[in-house]
Amino acid sequence: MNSLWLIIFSIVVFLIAYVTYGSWLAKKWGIDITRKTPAHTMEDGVDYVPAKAPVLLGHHFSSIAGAGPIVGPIAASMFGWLPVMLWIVIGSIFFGGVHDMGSLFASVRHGGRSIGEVIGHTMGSKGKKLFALFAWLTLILVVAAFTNIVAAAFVSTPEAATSSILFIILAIIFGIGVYRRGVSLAVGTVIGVLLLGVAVWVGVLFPISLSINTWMILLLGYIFVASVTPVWILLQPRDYLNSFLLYAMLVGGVIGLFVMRPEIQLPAYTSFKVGTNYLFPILFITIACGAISGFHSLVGSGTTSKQLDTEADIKLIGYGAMLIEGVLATLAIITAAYLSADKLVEVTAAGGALNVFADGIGTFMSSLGIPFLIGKNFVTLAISAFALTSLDTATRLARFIFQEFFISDIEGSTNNAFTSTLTNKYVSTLITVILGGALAFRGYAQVWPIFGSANQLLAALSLLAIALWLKRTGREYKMAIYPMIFMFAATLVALVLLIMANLSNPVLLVFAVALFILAIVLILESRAAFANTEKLES
Amino acid sequence: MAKIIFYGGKGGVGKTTCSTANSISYAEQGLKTLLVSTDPAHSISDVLGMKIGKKIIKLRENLDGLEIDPEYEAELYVNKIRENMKTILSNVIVEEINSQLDAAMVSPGTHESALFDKISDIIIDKFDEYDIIIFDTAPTGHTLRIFTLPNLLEGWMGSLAKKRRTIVDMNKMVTRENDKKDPVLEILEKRQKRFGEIKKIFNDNDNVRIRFVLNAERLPIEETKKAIKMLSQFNIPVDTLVINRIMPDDIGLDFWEKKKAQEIEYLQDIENEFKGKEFIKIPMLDVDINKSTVDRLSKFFND
Amino acid sequence: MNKIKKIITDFGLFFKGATDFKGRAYEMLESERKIEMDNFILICFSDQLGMPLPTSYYTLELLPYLVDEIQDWDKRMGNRKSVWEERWSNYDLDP
Repeated sequence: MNSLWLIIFSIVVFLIAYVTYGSWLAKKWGIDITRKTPAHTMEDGVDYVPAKAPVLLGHHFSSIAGAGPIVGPIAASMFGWLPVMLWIVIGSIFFGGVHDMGSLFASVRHGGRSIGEVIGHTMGSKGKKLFALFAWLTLILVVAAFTNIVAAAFVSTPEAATSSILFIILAIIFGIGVYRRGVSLAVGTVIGVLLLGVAVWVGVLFPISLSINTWMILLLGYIFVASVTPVWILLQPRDYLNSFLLYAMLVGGVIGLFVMRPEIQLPAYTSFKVGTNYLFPILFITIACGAISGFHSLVGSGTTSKQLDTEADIKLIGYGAMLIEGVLATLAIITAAYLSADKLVEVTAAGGALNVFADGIGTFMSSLGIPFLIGKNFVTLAISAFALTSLDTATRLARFIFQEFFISDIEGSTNNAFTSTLTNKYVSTLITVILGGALAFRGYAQVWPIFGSANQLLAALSLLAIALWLKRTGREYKMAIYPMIFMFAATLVALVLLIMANLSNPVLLVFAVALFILAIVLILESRAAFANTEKLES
Repeated sequence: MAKIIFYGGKGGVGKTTCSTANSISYAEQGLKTLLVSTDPAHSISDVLGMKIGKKIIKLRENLDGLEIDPEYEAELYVNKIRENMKTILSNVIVEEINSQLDAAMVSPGTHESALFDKISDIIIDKFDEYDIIIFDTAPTGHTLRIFTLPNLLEGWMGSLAKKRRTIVDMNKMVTRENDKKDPVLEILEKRQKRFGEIKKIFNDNDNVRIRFVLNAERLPIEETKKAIKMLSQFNIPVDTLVINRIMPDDIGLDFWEKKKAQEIEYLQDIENEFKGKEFIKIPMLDVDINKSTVDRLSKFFND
Repeated sequence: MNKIKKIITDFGLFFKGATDFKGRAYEMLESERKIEMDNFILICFSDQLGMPLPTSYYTLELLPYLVDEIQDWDKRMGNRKSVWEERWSNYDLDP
């Protein structure tokens, strides 16, 4: 079967779901297109500014799209492409779409405030603290998982390592030039993009080969330094230049795919147990982004809800963006599906899911005349650059949560030496990096499932808050409860399996046990919260 | 020779009298002297029988005087801000902010801050103009806080200026306007510099001294002990104590009869001046008033 | 016909929103600047919120120059319940 059918299939199904289930959700939740959104009622020209629907959709989508929908599906393809496709499609429609749209809706009805406020409103401060804790743990796991992924990619594609280092230097020069010295953005961009191309080419000429552990240590050091420096030096220029890399890659990859039209060689279904992994729960934990991801609630209630022009756009942006990400995930699975099962194992062993993806896109682009090695290096550079920027961001955010948690949540504490040291910028960053690093060394196979679990639990918490809010404002809420229950089931089983597999590794064990306990706490909280029948205003 | 002398001491020990007398003696030695009262009671006017106001006036040859009125200084400051606002902003906005400025006038720290500001101004501006500047301070604990302020405020202003500099840098990055000078930063840095100047003057032990006035009685001695201990923390030496109202060595009946006659006159003055009020008269005892003797006074309060 | 034109325009707007190069080049700087500014104003005018500082008197003369920023500041201060959740939207996490 030709792989393009997968894309057509997912696009068609998503379109149908959008107009049926999406509209059904909007109706059941009482989305009111005449009601003024916070972008109008609280308009301030700064944060609360109404934006046109397509533009906001683009913005929101680019915020939620990431390396997750790429890595997850490819990693799960060990079970065959059919289970992956089904979960992407069903997950996006009934799980992630509901989660994203619900968070956006709840946030809009709470004056554009974050999902944490909704959680606090429906579950009290205990819920908020749980949320902060889950978010913090998930961020540490992002550090662990992505460090590992990038290091593996550098091992399989040493050319990308060189190019990445050049990119860092280029970003710093860009930052100093454009932001500090006033070089015009246009000039800086042109030079930057050209030099990026040069970096890709130089990387192919001078690959740097080191061991995976060495790369991980270097990366952790980089993350530490990058996340404590001011944003204009490294983070902002990287984020900006990344977007060119990414879109060039997407365009090149998609066109190449349509030109090459590869046949699917991977079996539709291999077996329920692959190695030590069971299809349930591993499939559902491995594919988080691309099916359902807890981070999306924070993004949606960040800027998106404050810029929503009318409630009529909630379906398009909340539900629609998730479906588009589902299409992205479908594209990712094709890079694995066109390989045979053995080849897939081989390429994965060489450098993980990222290697599979880069190999695939590189192959597709070669059908356009781009040399394979250049294409592959380019893709690896793009995704790892992206991941590195995410790592920087995740470390910063983890530091903020950590600082805020320790400053505000210790009952009756004044600033004693202990808390002052802990909340010091460098110490809190160090804690994040060390914890993330310790997990990263455990290896991708262990870290990604636990990252997926944490992300899903975050999503479950958001779903819980959404369901509670829906219930207590007199709306139908079961469509949020069932996905939540399934998430709990999958996560708890996965955590038990992880704990059993890691009894000898203290760091991972601690994380898995902590997550398990927190999940149980969450379940108990939800039971208590549902018993509360006090009505809330909508 | 210290240039700046702060006169401190408990209420009633004769601080103002001493500081005034001291300033006169310096003036007579040919040293150009400025006597400044920071005591809201402004007794210097009473001592000299001259009207001393908010502007420096000549009291005698080589001696000028000034009374600081913190409320007046604060009002001056706020009005200047109001004037400034009118040149920068539209009148509509000025109206809205006026209430904020009015509220600021009655804020807790305003009095002390305005006082410190004026003292700093005098010290910095008049440092070279006069040979000696004497400050007659208020007999409250707050006075001693003044010595903590230069260090504290320089530090605070410094960190505010640093924050502002970060913002200005960020503004430049975002708006790409490179040449605009930032008035806020300029003001902050000017303030920081000024506090630094004061700090330097205070820290130079040859410039600033404190003279404590006390009587040969128990309570003033205790008070002086406490004050010196506190001041030693700020490295401001109290090297001279003025012991006031020491009885003459050859004290005799004559002395006391003269004093009693004067007292009778003043008692009469009181009864004339405050007609219609209740008077409770307490005699001076021949012992110190302490925990064992205070009961001897209580019987005079039979209301 | 008009409908097709609208769809094409919308697609264009979607890509514009997704790429938003001009915005992306400055959005993190803008967010950081706003946060720094709010903190600065907090220290300058904390006595407006009932917390007088030793410097409150001296920062009063900055009021005319900071009027624009203060306009929405007290509204924003009231909205700031959780700093870390706010900051989430300042960065591009993209996991």
